[in-house]
Amino acid sequence: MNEFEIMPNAKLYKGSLNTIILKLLDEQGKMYGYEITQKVKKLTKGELNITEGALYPALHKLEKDGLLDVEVTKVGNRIRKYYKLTGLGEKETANRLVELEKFIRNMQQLVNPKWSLLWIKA
Amino acid sequence: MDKSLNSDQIGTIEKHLDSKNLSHVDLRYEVIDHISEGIRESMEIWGISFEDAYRREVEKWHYDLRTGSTRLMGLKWAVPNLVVEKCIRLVREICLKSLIIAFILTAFGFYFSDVLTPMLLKYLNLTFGIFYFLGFLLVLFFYFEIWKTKIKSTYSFLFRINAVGFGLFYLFFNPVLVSILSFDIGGKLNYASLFGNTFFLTFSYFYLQLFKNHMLTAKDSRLI
Repeated sequence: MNEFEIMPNAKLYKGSLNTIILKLLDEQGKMYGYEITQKVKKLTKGELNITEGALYPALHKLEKDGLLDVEVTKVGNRIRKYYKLTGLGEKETANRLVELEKFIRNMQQLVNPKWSLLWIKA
Repeated sequence: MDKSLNSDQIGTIEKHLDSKNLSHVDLRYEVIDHISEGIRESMEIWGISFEDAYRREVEKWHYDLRTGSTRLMGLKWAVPNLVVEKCIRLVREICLKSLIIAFILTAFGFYFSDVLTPMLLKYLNLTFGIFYFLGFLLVLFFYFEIWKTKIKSTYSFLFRINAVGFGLFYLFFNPVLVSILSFDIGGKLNYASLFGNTFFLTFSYFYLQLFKNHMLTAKDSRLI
């Protein structure tokens, strides 16, 4: 199953779902599933759509790994599950972002060396 | 204007999930919330009726709620794709961990094979035999406890489809009772048996995790 239901370059984003979730929770504090999908859509101006079928298993896996904590509340006449980072989750987010930045830098060096020089100077 | 869904509208969503056999509570509550939120937003932003918004949302979930299966847990077991995806993540991880541990322990066995006398191999058979018997009793106990909760989850589903096979394995492939998985082959260590036994015993840890997660899910859903 694809993690993202998007355009022809969906493969480029494969494997980054967990990092996206962790980064959003790091910024927003706590979020629920639908909110995460909408936030990603908004931030990427509709370019990136997380598939629901991949989101919930990913959230549950991160919870099982001790990176996320869960808060269950009743909203109107239904139940809502909020996710937030644990201490371990915060550390893991920082590590993954460092890795991601390194990856982006390497890709820039490969794709456009001039840009990457500007990026390093900045 | 806030257009929160009423009980009848939530009931319509629940009926749809029933028709798709999504009774696994660890996913069901979140799917209901997700679809409800999608419908509410469509009604608010586009000003469309509940029926139209509902149709749009259901279409979005078409693939995730369609029945599917995977070779990893047996093609015979068909559940919504959303459940399949979660099962794959759970089974893949434990399979990989069990394989790595089995490889490491087999390598140890290879390295220390001179130390393993026929008497020690006999004790190894007995130790694993006892563990397997305890494993069988635990599977029975977990099965009964899960059944008592009267709740379905992805964890209980995975437990149910594996428990019978593993329960029988603990009895019929017990190294004390049958020679096929005995550690002793002509007074020497049987590496294939060491690999097989360590893999299956490590894999058994999976049941403990499934049981624990199901009981936590059941506890949470009772609080709700």
